Amino acid sequence: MTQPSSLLCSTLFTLVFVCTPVLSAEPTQADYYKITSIPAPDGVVIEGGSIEILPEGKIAVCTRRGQIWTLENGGSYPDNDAKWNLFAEYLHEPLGLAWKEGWLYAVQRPEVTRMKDEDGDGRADIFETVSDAWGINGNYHEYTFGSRFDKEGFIWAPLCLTGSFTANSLYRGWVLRINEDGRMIPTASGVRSPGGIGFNADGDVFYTDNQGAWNGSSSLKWVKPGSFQGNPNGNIWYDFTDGAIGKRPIDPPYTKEGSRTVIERENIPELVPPAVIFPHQKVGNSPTGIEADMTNGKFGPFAGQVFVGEQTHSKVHRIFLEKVNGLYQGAMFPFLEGFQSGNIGLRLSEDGKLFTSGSNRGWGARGGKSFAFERVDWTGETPFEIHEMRALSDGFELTFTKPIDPATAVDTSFKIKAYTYIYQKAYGSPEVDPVTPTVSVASVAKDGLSLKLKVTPLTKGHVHELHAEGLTDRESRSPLLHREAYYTLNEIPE
Amino acid sequence: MKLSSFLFLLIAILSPAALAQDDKVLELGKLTFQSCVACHGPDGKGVKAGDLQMAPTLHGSAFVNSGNSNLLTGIILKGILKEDNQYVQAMLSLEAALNDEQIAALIAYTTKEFGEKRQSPTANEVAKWRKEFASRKSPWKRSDLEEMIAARNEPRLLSDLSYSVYEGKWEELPDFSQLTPVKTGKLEDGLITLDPAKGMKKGFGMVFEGTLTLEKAGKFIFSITSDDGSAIALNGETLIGNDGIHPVKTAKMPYEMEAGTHTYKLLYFDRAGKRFLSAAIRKGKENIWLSTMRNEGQQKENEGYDPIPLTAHQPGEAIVHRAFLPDANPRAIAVGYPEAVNLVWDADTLNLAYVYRGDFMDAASHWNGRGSGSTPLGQDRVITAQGLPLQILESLDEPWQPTSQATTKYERDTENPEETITFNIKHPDYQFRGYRLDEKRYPTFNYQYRNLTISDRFDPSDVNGVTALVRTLTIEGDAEDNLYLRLADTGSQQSDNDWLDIGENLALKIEGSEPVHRQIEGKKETLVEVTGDSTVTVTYRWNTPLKP
Repeated sequence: MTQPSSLLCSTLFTLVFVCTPVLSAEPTQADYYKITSIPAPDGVVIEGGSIEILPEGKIAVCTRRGQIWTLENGGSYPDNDAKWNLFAEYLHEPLGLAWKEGWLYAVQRPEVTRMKDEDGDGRADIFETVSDAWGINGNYHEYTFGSRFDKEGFIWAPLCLTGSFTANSLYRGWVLRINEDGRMIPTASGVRSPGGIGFNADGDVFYTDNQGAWNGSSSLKWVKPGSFQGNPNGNIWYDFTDGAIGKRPIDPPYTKEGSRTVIERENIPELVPPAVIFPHQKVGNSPTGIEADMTNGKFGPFAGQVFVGEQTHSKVHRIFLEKVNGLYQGAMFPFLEGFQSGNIGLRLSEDGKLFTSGSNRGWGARGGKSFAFERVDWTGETPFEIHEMRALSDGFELTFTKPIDPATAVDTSFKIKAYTYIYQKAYGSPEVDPVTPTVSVASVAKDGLSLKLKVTPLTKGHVHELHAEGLTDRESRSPLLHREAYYTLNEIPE
Repeated sequence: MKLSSFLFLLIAILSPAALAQDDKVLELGKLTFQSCVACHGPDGKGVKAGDLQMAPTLHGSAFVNSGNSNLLTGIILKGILKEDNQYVQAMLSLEAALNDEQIAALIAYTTKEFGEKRQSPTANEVAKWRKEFASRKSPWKRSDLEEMIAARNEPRLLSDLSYSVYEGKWEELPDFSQLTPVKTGKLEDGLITLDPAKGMKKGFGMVFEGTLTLEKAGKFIFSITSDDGSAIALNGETLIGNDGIHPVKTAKMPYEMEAGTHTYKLLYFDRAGKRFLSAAIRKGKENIWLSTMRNEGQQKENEGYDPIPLTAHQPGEAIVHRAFLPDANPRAIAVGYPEAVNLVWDADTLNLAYVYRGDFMDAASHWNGRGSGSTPLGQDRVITAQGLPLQILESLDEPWQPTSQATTKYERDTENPEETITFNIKHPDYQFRGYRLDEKRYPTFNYQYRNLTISDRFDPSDVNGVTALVRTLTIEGDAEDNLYLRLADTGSQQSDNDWLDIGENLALKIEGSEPVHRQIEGKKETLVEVTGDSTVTVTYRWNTPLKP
């Protein structure tokens, strides 16, 4: 027993000794992104739901207690004092905010409301009901989230199931689209328990859905109009749509053993698989708000990508999306952690400041504080990260934010395991059908900014979990700030 | 061979029917446990959230191993508060989500799978406990539960405890020996309880008699807390009197006791209102409880969240508060006016739901946990003619349709394809348009009805020094013929100088339109015919001043 362990010790010792001089200090998040907590006024509880940016750079946040606060100097606090103003209060758990043409729209539990301060005292006095075209029955789980306005002037509102299992009120388990005239279009079915809704850089709509019945793991889902998102409990409402999105899809199997999404896609043409799965517990338990980076580099090197809040783990994920054979898919990368409460709302200002708001009421969060409103600033330093992970016919292409050290771009630096989840009526799923493909470096770009991996086999429908442990950047020989990526391979490109 | 013959024997002892039944219970329990796995994990070991746990492991849990299905039912019904960051998640209340059968099965499954000893409560027992826990509005604190377990494990000083229940209305304790009990029985667990009198609607009395066993001699403090009167007799002698009609009140008496057995007798009566009875003996610091109710004065079950009363930011302003509220549909809007008069307007039915006086609202249960809705405070709540306000009546014999509902087949699981659900659906003739606040933040509610635009506004007022609310309904557009507004469907509807009694100490007066009274389907209704571009003014007035 003594010999092998002392051998191990000396090997470790040698490794450390040899490696230390060439490796610079381990990079940390704080080198690239700083989180600043913006305190609420004394005695005020800002359990943040959604965040919107108003003209003149004011920030609006709606809270689970039904208040809407506006904030001045949110981007410059603590250099300038945070000036909070209570614009409206006692709404019914609003979880969506959108500004349009002088009106602030709030998506609250019972309705979409638009508000205006007519007498100029800073408080809204007009509360117009734009639409209340869905049911609520008094169950707390019947949450209503809301997006901002899309290109065509619609707010998208995903409606949580009753008690997160059944659909006992009209359109529970659906995504509705509503415009300023109150026109409502039933748009997609199959929702379980949403955590947020927003757009990618192209303006397509995505929502996050939480692990549970018919959701093996939480994910980012593409709300293709007319699609079925996987949970059949709300499909009874097709009878009430006047054919707005076509006929009701057939049910997935209610059997005890369940099925797989990739199999049921063949049987149920309306079923759109999750674009990006967030492996449960590994990366988080409860994804929330969605925000695309439209800052053209003011928030770091991730322009065009999507950020997703994570409530339980108090984090923000980073998402790369691509469309293959008409379906969205892509990779989730760990991005930011250490927020003080459970992130719900996310909003990135044009000048590159990411605002987050959160609460841990009823659903605990690692941050530990019951609520928080925070701002993330990019320090201007570029972290060494996998920038994109793109599917190829025989593997993946990785791009990087900085040139890599080609000496470390070797087969042993990469490991992939692939797995999927059961598509079933029961709650959640373990990881199943594991595959461990062989991974080799097929080519490295001359500029060091990308490489191709040959992966054998690729498994359609599986999450491909990549670990890139040994890779370093060319200039500073630092390892990746985040070495994992989780690619959901709905389609294998030709 | 040995094992298989043993199994055979077991199967032979348990009838096949019982076994199949049991399988079903555990299967239902396992299915029900799906509601728990997000936090407790499929293996009951608790799901990790990074380096923290979502919820504790159920293996070795003092609660699971308490052997107390009543306690477990209480936990499942009410949930457990998150008091620190030991666990990421609070335990949520499953009261609304699970039926009695599911809870019984869940207890069977979890105690069998994760506990030391399987518990097998029946759905009927769970139903009974559900009623017992009904008054509790908030999740448990861990310390409450630990106390409950400790209470179960504490020494029992009373044995051979029996009770008698008597019916009657008294001002003070009667001579029970002259009366005939309506009910008698034994209390096997040795704890004094008012449970046997649960069904007693009027005044009642109870006598408890048992054997008190003390291991050591010494000075003991006997105490008794009751609403209304009570007394203790020890070895045939009255020791403490706590007699008369009174709120919860404690009486204590120190007494030198011999070691050994003594007869202990407790007398109790309740005339009306709150019922409370607890009894204890203290030697040193700790009370040893002789009763199921605990704590001198307060009944623990009624403790909840700290109240969050809602008050206006500036004096003279109203509060408009949207939340789930009792006695109204989910799209309820409460308004608290500065003159201590309040109302709930229902945006599902586009109508006033009720009025009340005094304090406005407690948001504690709305703003704690996952939010079950707010609690109106105050007094004198009167439910007005609830439901949809307008209808075209071809004849006055046509009944009122106060709700708009639809039914659909709910074939969500192939096992029960014929299940149907009924749900509220928007009436196609109505559209809520929201509200507008004036400078005092008083709202005017707006809605469409067919081709009419209607606004509904309330102003606090007083009539002869008594609180009143003036309601102004403004109708714009050309009204169709035979369109009626329903204003009352309660009370005697007797008029006194144009004041119409609508029950519960509230009267209303209608101006701008002639009331039409009718009796239909056993109900008295007051309607007014609505004409185009008109105003209807209704004053709601309480008959007596607000009690302080």
